[in-house]
Amino acid sequence: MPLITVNSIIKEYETAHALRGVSMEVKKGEWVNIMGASGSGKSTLLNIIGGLDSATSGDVIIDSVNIEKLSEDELAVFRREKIGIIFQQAHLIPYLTAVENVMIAQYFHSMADESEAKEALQRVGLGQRLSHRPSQLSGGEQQRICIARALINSPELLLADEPTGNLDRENTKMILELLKKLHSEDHFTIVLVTHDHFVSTHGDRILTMEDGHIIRDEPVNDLRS
Amino acid sequence: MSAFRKIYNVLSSKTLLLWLGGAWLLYYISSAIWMKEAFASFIANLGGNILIQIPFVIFLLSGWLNFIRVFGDRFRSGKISFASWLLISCGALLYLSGLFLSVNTRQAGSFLAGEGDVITVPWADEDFQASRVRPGLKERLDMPDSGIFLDYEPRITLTDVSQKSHDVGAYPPSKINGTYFHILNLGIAPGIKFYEKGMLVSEGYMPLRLLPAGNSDTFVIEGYPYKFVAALMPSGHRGEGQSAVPLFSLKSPNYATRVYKGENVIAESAGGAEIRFDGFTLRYSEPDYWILLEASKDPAMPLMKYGIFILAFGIPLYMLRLFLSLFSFRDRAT
Amino acid sequence: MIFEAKLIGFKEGIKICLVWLVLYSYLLSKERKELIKPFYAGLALSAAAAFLSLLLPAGLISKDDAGNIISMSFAAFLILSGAALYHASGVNLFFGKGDVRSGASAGILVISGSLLFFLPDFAGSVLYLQGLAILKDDLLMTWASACAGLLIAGIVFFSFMKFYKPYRLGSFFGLPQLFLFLSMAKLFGGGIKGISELSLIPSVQRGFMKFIHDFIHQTFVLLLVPDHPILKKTAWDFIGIFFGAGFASAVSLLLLLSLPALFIRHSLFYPLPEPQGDTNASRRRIWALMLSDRRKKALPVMVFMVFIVAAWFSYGGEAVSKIYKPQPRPLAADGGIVRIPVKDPAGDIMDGRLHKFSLFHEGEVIRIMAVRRSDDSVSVCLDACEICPPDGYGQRDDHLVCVYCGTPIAVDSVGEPGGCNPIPLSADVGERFITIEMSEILKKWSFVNSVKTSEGVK
Repeated sequence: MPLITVNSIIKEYETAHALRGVSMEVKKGEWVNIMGASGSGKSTLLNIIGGLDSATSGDVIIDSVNIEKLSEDELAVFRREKIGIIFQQAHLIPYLTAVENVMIAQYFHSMADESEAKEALQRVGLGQRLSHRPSQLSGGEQQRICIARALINSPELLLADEPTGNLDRENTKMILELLKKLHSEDHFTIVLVTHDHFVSTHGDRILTMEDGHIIRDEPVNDLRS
Repeated sequence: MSAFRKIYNVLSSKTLLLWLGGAWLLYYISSAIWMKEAFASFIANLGGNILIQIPFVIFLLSGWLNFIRVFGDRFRSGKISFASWLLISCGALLYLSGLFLSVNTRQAGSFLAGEGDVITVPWADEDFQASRVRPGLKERLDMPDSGIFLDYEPRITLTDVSQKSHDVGAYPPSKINGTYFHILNLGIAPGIKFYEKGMLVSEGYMPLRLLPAGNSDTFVIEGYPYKFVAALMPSGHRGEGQSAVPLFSLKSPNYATRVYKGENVIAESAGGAEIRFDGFTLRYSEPDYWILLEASKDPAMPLMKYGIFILAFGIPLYMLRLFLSLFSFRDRAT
Repeated sequence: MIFEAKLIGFKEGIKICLVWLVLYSYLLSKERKELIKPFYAGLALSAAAAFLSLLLPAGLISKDDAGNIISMSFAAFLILSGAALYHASGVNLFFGKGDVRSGASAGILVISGSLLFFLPDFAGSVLYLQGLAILKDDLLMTWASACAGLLIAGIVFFSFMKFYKPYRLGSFFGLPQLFLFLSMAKLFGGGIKGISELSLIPSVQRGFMKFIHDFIHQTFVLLLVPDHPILKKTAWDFIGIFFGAGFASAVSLLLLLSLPALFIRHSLFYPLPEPQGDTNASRRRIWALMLSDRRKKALPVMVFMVFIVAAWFSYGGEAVSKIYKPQPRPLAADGGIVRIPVKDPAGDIMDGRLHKFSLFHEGEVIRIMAVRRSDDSVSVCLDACEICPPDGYGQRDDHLVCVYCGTPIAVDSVGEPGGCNPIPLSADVGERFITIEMSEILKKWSFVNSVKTSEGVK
């Protein structure tokens, strides 16, 4: 049974159609990359899967729960429990240290646990940077805090929207290696939006979008071959 | 599991202790609500009612067995925690055990004695002589506003048959040959000489409750139809006018005396050393002191005393532990 | 409308509403909503039984009896809350063999509980209202006022519930907290003496203070510590602290607060069991739920504690300082007999207050007192005991208090000889006069004012 089932999602804005009947499935433990040009609807799709935005029509079923039918409060709880999100912008709280930024996520989930937060930062290679503030860290390091923060509450699903969008190649590689490691060790399900071909060569499957439609669905290995 | 083991398990369980504690509470509250003097009746029952005695003994037994059972765990639980638990539980158990034994074995009595009197303690083989009474009183009493005049502690010297002297005060009690003695109360006993037509017919000390100054007391002399009402009068004043304070001398007190024959006052004096009436003379001389001595033979007294003593250390330590636990509590929330 | 009757009705109404609210919320949170029906049954039975008690022969249940039963049910709920707390926190009170919930039918327990809670209060209030009706000589108006009070309470409560439905209150109450709440409802609303005593606080306070005083007194007697000022003034001043009303009041407050404090300690400081879960996050989630649950349950207990302390001191200040010391009325002996009128313009011996008399005899003032006990018998004593200097007694509620050493003595035990009790006189209590033999008075008085032995001059 798939972890995510998207059924004929339509998203209309006043003047435009962002999604025109998108359907897809993601299996548990799968890493799916969504590619496409700007305006193709990939970020909108990701936001709808993540419960940050709602569809005009259609269903999004995650772990047997139709999130389109949940109330605001229920959706917030669902998101907190099941989904971790990484954005292009780190969105870290500037006056808190790295470990405190992770603990904030724990706090909103249940309760803060400093030792667990430190351990999580060590896993993303920031064991030496625990008490640094975001301004004292590089973009790659900030993004690694975001990964630690997204994964600290053991979500079923990790959504990433251009996580390497503003990183250099070195840092991009490092982030991708990290995601690969977490994916293979902890079997997170990952849905990653990118327009970077290098990024899309990691993972299991690539969906290509154009004008609110999925136009291609192919395995990564095929593409490499 | 053997029957012995089963009984031990029940007796040493916290559950039994809680049940017995709850049952006592219910018993005490019921008797307090319906019979009022609950504590006195509980103590009386503890000394003579088997329905109260048996559960109380089981409670004590269960308390000590619980104490032994959890000793090891408590020992490993940290120094302050262990110490406060040890002092409180040990103190309480000692006190309660002592209470039970004391109520059931104590022999007690009180004796009025002046200097030279012999005291016979029924349960002891020997007599004691009150060889010396030191009241600790100041010779001149300034009458204080508070009314508390005993700004001192009286002492009495008891001499046993082997001429060994023992000093006894109000507190702590002195232990003489297994019996505790202490002074419960004291007062003055004016020296009195009674003359009939110039002949001395009666002489001695009359223990009266004249203290605090202002109290009056009555006495009679056997064989004569007179009744005397005596009170201490000031021997002088200190200060003047509104702020004058009366001074009372205890070395040579000034007595106001009134003599009754039946309902009639036949003589009265507002002070002075003697009063004359109907051909009789009553003369006061230097007073002696009387002491109300309490004696008690109680093998359980040390248990209670040390129990209270240990508790007195244990309770503050327990408070300290509670206070410290506020800070040492490791909540994973921050 | 009779204000006092309305107040009684209002008080009972509010009590019913609050208990219903807390119980209903509790049952909702435990998903045992159906158990509210036995509660209604218990409530109805209590009301019916209370009214039926009016048919009993007069005097079979006195107001004092009803008050005593209320005090007992308060104590019962308090003890139950302690027991439930222990049971819930790991000490199985049934030697590991049973569980409160799995045993007898829950419905029967709820009915018995609501009978235990409401019947004494209702019966007490009904008795009070009946007395009030006789006093006011208007049966109909008394009961109408009480019903109006009840109705007002209902209206106030339901209009409150219309705007705000606090059913989430259930998460603040476990079984121990529920019992504690019930005992607190009794404590604050269990009095049946009308305006003069709406709550049980004064009688609970007296009971606790009496216990503390008696305990200290007994300990001092057994340890041979003089309880009268024989020591150096500083030492006596120190010992005197333990006999003072302030000390007894403070310690008894601590005793009353010890059970709620135990609740708080359990809620905030007891180690939680290690949570079971697949991931750190899920364990953390369970841990957080457990923590927040028990913190929530500490909250009503803290509120109770604040109320108790506030109520304690609002009553305490008055109760501790107010000792009633009546002026003695002069008496005269006539042919070896002393007569005290039971009822005359100067006072009524049967009014429950302390009455003092002075008798002049051969230059001495002999002090006599009389007081009615709860069984309507009159106790006649000398206004002195064998121990303390003759300062006599005062009255504080249903206790006499030795003016000198502060020992409280229950009025009902006045007349029994010994210790700190006043020296009893054998007297003949008639309809109009109390008659005492002068020789009896003189014999007993000779113990008071003198330490003389019969030897006379030695």
